[in-house]
Amino acid sequence: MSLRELQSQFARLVTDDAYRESLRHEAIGAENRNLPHRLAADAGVLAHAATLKRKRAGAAAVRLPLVRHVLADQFFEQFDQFAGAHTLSREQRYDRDALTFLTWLASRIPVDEQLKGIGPRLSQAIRINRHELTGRLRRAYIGIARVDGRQLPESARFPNGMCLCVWLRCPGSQSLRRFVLRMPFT
Amino acid sequence: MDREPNIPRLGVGVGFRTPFKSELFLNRSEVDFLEITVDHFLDRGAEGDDELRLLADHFTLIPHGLDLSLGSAEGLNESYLDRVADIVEKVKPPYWSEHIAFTRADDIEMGHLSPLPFTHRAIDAISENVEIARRVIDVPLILENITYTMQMPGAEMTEAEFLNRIVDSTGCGLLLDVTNLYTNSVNHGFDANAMLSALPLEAIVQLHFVGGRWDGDTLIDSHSSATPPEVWDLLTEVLDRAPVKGVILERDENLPPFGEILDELRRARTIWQELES
Ligand SMILES: [Fe+2]
Repeated sequence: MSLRELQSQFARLVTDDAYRESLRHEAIGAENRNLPHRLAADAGVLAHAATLKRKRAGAAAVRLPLVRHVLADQFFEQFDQFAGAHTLSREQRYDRDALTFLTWLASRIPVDEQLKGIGPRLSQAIRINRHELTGRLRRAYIGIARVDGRQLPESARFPNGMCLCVWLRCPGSQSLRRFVLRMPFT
Repeated sequence: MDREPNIPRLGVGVGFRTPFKSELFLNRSEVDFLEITVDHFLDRGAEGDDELRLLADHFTLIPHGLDLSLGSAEGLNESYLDRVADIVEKVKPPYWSEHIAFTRADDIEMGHLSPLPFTHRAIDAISENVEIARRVIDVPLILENITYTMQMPGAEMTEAEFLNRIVDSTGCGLLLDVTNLYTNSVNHGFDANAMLSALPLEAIVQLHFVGGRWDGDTLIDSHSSATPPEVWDLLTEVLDRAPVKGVILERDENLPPFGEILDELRRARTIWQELES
């Protein structure tokens, strides 16, 4: 197996619980187990997957204090289920992760016996935490500052060495862009 | 021998964490330099730019990346690399650091450092990626050893040999995390001192140290507790034998009162001074 294939298999095994479990079951009793099957049954792979989830759960707990409070100990149990089936996004990963978790959690309320009892309180907590988080993510305008050559070398090309720098978030890619503008006044 | 004679001696510092920003300035004379986590400043906007500037005005800053995925066989994420380059350009450090690991494969972001197999192909991959990074960032790069819960299959050499070959092949210095070395020695049952002796000591530029936590009989590198005696011993050993330029206390979780951080910095500085006198 090439390094690229090995890394791809490993990444999938530590982020996709269902995939890992299906390979692990296939491996039981099989005579010729290939590398992905052996990795799926490896205790270290499982431990690595648990570490990844713990890190994501910690980041989500900080971003969703109300939901964390309402769910109490169940928060980490629920997040564990969620994280095993959803991978991180590339940009704004922990904010996006927390939002996707909220959507997933809301869909679980009617079907999860443990959540049904606290349904109204949990729904309210989800709504409030989602509102806060989406507000932050949708903020296209990030900041504006007057800068000079020391802070931003590009500004040296302007006559008085001063310019305005505006930071914007691109709506599609969500990536951050910096625009340097000539100062309209001195 | 010192393989990085152009890198100045930085002293003993700490990984910058926002909650103790004020204490850093109040105790400015006790912190020789700071390591900043690049990823915390990627989407920084105007306020983050201000913060970087304020820190850079008062401390030497060493950018420390988490997510470049230098060990990825599929190559680097160029837009991420550009954003790292922007930060390095801004703080003008004597060097910057990343990990001997991969964090991404296909379109899956693991968000965590994952181990490479100890193979020639993995050395080639990291060497190719370091070369690409060098074309964009013209500042020395040093590479850090990580902890691992399992060894990737297909190993063609020991970890020490792997690190030696990476240092040779990339020409990078080493950021030796002594806590990671100790943690792996506990979890995988090897002698940390023997491993240390097998490493390219002359390539070590910087150290990381901190304490972890136990989960059953596994030691987790949670960066969440005071440095244990075994790590102090290893740190002393490396300071005695390698041309170290900087030592960073890398506390992330369960942050203690800043006085406890200062105590550890003082202790590391005293060890270093006593070894030299
Ligand atoms: Fe480290």
